[in-house]
Amino acid sequence: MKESFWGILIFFVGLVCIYFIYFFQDVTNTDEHNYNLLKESTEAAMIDAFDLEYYREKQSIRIDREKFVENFLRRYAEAASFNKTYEITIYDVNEIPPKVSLTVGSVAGGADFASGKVIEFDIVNRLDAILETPY
Amino acid sequence: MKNKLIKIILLSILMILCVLGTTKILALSGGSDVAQGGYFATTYCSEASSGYCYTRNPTRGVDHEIQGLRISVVDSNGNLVSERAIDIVNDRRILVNTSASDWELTKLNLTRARNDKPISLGASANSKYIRNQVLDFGSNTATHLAKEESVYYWSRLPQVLDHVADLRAFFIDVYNNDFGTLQKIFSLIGYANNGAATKQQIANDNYYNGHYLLIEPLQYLQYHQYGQPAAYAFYGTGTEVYRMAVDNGLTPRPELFKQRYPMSIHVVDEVRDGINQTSTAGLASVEHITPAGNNWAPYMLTYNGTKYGVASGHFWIKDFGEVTHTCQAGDPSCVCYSSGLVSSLSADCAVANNGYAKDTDDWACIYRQKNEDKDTYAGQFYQEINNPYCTIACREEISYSFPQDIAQKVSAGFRFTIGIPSTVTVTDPETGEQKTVQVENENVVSLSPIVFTGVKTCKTGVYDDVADFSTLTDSQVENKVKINYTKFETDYKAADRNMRNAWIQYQIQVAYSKSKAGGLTKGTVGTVHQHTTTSVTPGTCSYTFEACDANGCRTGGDTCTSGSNISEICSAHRRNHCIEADGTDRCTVGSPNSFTCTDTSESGTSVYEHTSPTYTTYVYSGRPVTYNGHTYVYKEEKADCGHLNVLTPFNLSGEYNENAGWNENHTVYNAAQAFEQQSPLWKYNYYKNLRDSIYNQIQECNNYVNLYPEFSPELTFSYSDPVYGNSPFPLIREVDSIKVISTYSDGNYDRSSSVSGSSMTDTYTLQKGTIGTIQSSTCSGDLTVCNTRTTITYSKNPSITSTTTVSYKYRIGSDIYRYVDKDGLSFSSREEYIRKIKVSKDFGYSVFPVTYRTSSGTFQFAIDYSRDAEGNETLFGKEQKYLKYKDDPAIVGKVTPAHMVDITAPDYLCRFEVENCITKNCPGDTDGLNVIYRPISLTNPFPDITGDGRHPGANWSGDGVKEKYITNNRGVNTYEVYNMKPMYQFIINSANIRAIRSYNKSHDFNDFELECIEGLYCKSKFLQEGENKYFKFTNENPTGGECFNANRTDWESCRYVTIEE
Repeated sequence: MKESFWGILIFFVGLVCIYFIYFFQDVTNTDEHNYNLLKESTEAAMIDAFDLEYYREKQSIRIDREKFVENFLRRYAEAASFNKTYEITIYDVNEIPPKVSLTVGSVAGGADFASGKVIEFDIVNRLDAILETPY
Repeated sequence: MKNKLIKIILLSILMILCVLGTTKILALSGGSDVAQGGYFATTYCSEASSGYCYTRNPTRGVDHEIQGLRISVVDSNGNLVSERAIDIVNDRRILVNTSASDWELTKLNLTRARNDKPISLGASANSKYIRNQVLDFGSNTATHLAKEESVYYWSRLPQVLDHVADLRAFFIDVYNNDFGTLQKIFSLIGYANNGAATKQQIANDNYYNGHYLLIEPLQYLQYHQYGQPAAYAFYGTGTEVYRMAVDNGLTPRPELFKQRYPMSIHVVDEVRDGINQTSTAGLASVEHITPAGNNWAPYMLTYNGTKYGVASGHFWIKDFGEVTHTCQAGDPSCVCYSSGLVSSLSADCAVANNGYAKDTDDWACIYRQKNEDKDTYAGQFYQEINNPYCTIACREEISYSFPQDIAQKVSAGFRFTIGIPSTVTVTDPETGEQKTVQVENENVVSLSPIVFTGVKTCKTGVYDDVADFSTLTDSQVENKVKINYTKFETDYKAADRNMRNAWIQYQIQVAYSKSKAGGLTKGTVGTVHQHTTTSVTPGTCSYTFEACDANGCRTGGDTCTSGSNISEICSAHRRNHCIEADGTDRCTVGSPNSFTCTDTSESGTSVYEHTSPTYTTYVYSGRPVTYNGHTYVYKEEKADCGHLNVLTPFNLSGEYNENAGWNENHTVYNAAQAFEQQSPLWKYNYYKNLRDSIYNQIQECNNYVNLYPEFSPELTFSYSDPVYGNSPFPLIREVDSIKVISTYSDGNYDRSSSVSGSSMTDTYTLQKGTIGTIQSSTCSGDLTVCNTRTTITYSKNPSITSTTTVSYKYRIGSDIYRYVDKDGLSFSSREEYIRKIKVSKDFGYSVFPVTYRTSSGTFQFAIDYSRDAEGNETLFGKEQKYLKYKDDPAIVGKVTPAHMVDITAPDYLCRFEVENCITKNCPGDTDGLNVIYRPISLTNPFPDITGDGRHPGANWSGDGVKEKYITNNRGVNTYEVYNMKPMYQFIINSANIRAIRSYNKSHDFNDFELECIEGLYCKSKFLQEGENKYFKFTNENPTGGECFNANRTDWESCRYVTIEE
């Protein structure tokens, strides 16, 4: 019995450890994934939002604000996880010169939007980026 | 005996020479006579009472001797054109350097006068004597001369001036055979590009037109008294010597200055450009001062208080060219035939960005083309005008200025243009209405203006019917250039006289008309006339007969009762009376057989039946009307049956009927007869119009202007660009200016303001320059005579020059790539723009885009002015003569091949530099925008290893840009931005992600489904329609964020909403 107890204890401890390992691995991976996704999507979205029309007109670098927002959403969703819910918050988009500040938070599973409760996102990544021409 | 015979022969020869010497005066040029004939001898005083006598020392002892010439170049007003004048001497003995070589600069030996009397010079130290080489009307222009005694030695300078070695022949010989020496002279006086000008340039270039080589003989003159050494010695021009003598209390002897003596080179009247010039090159003609042959010494200094230069002559520079261009048909030396069209057209801006093509400058040559075939290039010099009093000859000169290399680099993806307007009209994307907006300084490269300028200079040409101009010299041709005022005056007076006579005839007609209108009175005694129609003709009864009985005719063919008044019976029964061949009277029906009378009246001819073989007419008379001392009474003869004969000389039909004519028969046999048959009023109007037309024609001769409509170059522009520059773009021609200058006898007059469309409004009204007068009549009012002729004025300039300068500027067509969409695609269609107005921008003017992926480097642009966009030849205008007659031998074959190459293929190439700042397509780079994406720290966005921060990129380097948009973004310090209300905030869950991925499969990431206003304030259709489908809003920001759905008004302000609000 005593040995069985220990065996069970060790088993549960193992489960707990596995859980924690999984939990921290998930947190770490998600954070890294989210950041890289944020960074790459932001770059691509800023490039896609580059206003060629404005360049022909003014010979100046400009991005379209909502084109950036749209493009970021679409690109981010293209690589986001289905098992997470993301909160994308754009704090600043400056068109000329191009500069963005945004955060992406994620939480595992679905979120109850209808209940009106505030969702606490587990991981929040933040990014400030610009487009800069060589000088 | 033998000696006597020899003496007689010698005497005869001497007499002949004297006669020749006194009658043959050769001209220095058309306007100068140089001392000819006679001689100038030293005169010693024979006795003490002689007073001062004069000698010429040193001298070679020859007649007509000169010791030097002063040379300069002046314009037609005597103003110095060359930089200086120089003295040239031909006698080394009077020089300091007695062994001087040709063109050596040396000085006069001032002690060479007899008995070593120092020579006074015009340039003495105290400036007492001034070199007044040009003393035009009251103006002493001597101040431009160097007051030095420096002279040049030239051994070839003639020692004497006479008809054997006159200066004109001398300088022409120098021009033809020793042109280098003439260039040397020009170099020394600073003229003709310091002597570098070629013969061709001197002959053809307008610059030399109106310039004169001013020539002043230089001489010694000593004054002494009997038995005394020389008291005075002078050296200088005739005017100077005279001035020096007078200033020293001497009275120069008149014979020194008579026209035929060396010092007396002088100007004579000269006809040039149809005008008798009494002053040429600033010099008054001697005829203008005193009759030829008289002593004009008194006029050497002053005349009526005005100074004259009468010891100067001139030689027209253009005479040099004339000598070598006789302009006879086929003469290759004549500019008309050797080079009818002169051109210098650049094909590359590296060589020149301008060029020209022009007719010959030689007007004498142009005048010679009067009889040329009109279907030739040469035949185009004379304009077709319907004017018997003058002809008009024109020459053309076309020049252009094209853009040069573009100094400023054009960025790939950007654009350049030709001329940026200050304001443009664009479509308001919100309202759809047109609006005018200012064009901001956009740093757009704009090519320098493309300008074409055409100058058409028209002059009154020759009107004489000269069949063969080759027999005439240029001067003779030019002397025929005039307006025929004699013919004008004759024609005008004749028309005016005929008009007055026609008016009188017309008023007589009016008098008769008024006489009739006053009422007609029937005369008391009538005149019996026979009807013109024979009513009864035996043997003509071929009708159905009716028998006659006691009651008259009846049917059945019975004969009528003998003895009856058959005629009356027939008439009573309203039958015709006829007589059978056997004499039987019958009444008939059918053919009319009544008496007729013809009524001729204003309304035409009418025929009336009448039963009587005779009729009576009466004379009807109007009331007497007096006109011009005569009484006129209208009379007509009229019968009761309607006969009418107008007895007065005028029919009263009134106004001339253009269609029917005035005459009764309405028949026109020939022009002369038709004219005679016209009414007096018609004739009056005819002569009045003719007279006014004559007046207008002489005015037209004075005010003729050709607005040069055939000068209409069409240009296309093309440039190297793989997307946008493939086809040539037609450039729009716009009139920049039209300037019309007419030159009358009193100067130039700017008539540009009178240009109205394609014509001038003052052609027949303007009176400038010389005004003539002529008597003219005015006629008006019934029963009046034309008034006493009054004096009217008309332009009477000897000749007129009208210069029309048309200048065009060129711009790109209206809608060339003026629109660009969010994809960066430029397009030209307005319809497409309207369709894409939400994602497009209208620059408001045309541009030439440079493709984004264009590599850095040098590219070409070209301007073609020989063909239009369809490839048709245009050159300077489809109707312009250089194109129209390009196959004419006067152009082709006579023009150097280089010219023809230029004319037929005048593509003008130039270059522009592209700098690719926006895409990475340089060697080694990958595709993509050449911008750097940087995640940054808001506190230190541009870090470097020193900690001071690096220099930001170009788009972040402006003053305060970094602070405004990064470190103080959205108006708050660095990361405090994350405490502000989000601009956008979305929640996406797995369903949204799935929906977005589905959307992405059907839409490119750069689809740009936006709705913009003028390219700005763009709203994403994806965002507008995506709620609950592609994303959800958070409870904190249920509207999607402060900037979600922002519009133009709050597009920027939404960024600055703080969280506290």
